Amino acid sequence: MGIRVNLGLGKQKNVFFHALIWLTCGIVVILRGGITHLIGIEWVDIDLIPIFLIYLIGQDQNFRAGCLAFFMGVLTDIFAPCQLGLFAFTYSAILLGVNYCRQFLDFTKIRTSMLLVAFFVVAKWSLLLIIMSIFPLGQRIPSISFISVCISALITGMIAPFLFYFLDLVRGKENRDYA
Amino acid sequence: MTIFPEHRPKWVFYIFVILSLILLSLSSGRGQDWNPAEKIAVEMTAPFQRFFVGTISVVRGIWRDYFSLVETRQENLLLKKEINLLKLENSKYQELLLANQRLRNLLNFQENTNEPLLAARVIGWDSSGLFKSIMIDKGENDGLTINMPVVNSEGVVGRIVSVSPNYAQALLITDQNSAVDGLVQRSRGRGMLKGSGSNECYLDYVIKTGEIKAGDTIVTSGLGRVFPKGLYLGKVRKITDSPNKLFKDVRVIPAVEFSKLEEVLIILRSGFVPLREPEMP
Repeated sequence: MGIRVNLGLGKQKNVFFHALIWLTCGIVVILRGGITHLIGIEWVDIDLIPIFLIYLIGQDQNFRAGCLAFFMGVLTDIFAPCQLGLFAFTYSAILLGVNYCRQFLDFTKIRTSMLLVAFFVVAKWSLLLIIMSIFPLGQRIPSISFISVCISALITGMIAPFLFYFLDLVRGKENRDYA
Repeated sequence: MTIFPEHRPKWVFYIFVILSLILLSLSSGRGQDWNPAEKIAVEMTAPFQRFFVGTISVVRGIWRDYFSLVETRQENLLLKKEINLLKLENSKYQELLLANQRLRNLLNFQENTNEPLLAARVIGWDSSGLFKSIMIDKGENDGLTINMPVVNSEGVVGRIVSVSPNYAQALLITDQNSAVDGLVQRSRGRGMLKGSGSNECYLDYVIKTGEIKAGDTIVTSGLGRVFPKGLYLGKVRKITDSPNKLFKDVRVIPAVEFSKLEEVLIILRSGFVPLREPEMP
């Protein structure tokens, strides 16, 4: 049995919906460091951007997801002392991979989306490690423990249903099974 | 027709991957300083960070000051400040004393005291989760340039890596990309203080015969032309001397408590800017 959401919002709300996603993502990127610092959970990487990206991919909105991944990656690059394009590439490349797998996945199932979000976080760290090792960027990233990455993936994955539910509410979507 | 059609072929992802690769290759070797477009983005978005941190500080301040032990807290803060200043002063005196014992006339300690300082507020922390950096509310307009040392009353915080007209980004000494030439205050042994990405640092290149023990204070050596000599870096926590290693493995606890960093001081000296590699034709 699942919860079905229908607020009857039409397609005209799309602009508002996507503006809201972009605004939320922008705020998340800008304030993320401050929030984790204030809460004292800097050792765990709770990144909400993958949740929004997986949501958009699930809605078959490739172009919007690609744009969001690229520009939020660039914004992250600006606010981090790293080369411009590092996070933009990471997000875009993982999104490309996820998109390739989409034919085997059922995005209407919340568990699939949760797993994808968790996978996204693990893939992000793995890809960053690979990029830093292969390309001579002159920078190093911390040797984060596997356990930290797993906890980060788990927490981010668990946040996903709540955010999906909220986004579905705003969008008036009614075909997701939250069971 | 809409600007962002919902159903697009998969090749759109390739465009973004290629775009980001182009960005990455264009920015590699450019250093960490912001380009004009990035500066505009920072100028536009940093006020949000400032507002957020400011609001949190105000709320936290009200809570602490008015709901819990008003006088005790203020007195405690004053005393802590005083202790920190005394510590700093003491460090300088110890440094001067040790220098006097050696060839005092050969050393120039004036640089430690004669340089102007600029106070700045921390308005944001690293948003990537990968690096250890802070955003401060002072920039080019206030006279900041790349590689200026960032300190507070406890010791060395880091150095400026990116500057926009009104904001700057400082790389903390705990970042894995940070390296500061250090000195064991007691024995004058040399080493390179490197960040580990956690709340601890490593003192690299400490020779086996070097005299160093847990609890020793590490100060800046003044070499590297970024940090003035004699600033507190931290205290030695643990030393491991493996027979199969060339140097001692020294772990250092930074003098600065980064979790409580709210204000910093920037030493307005033009830091050492490494020469750029000549571009290939």
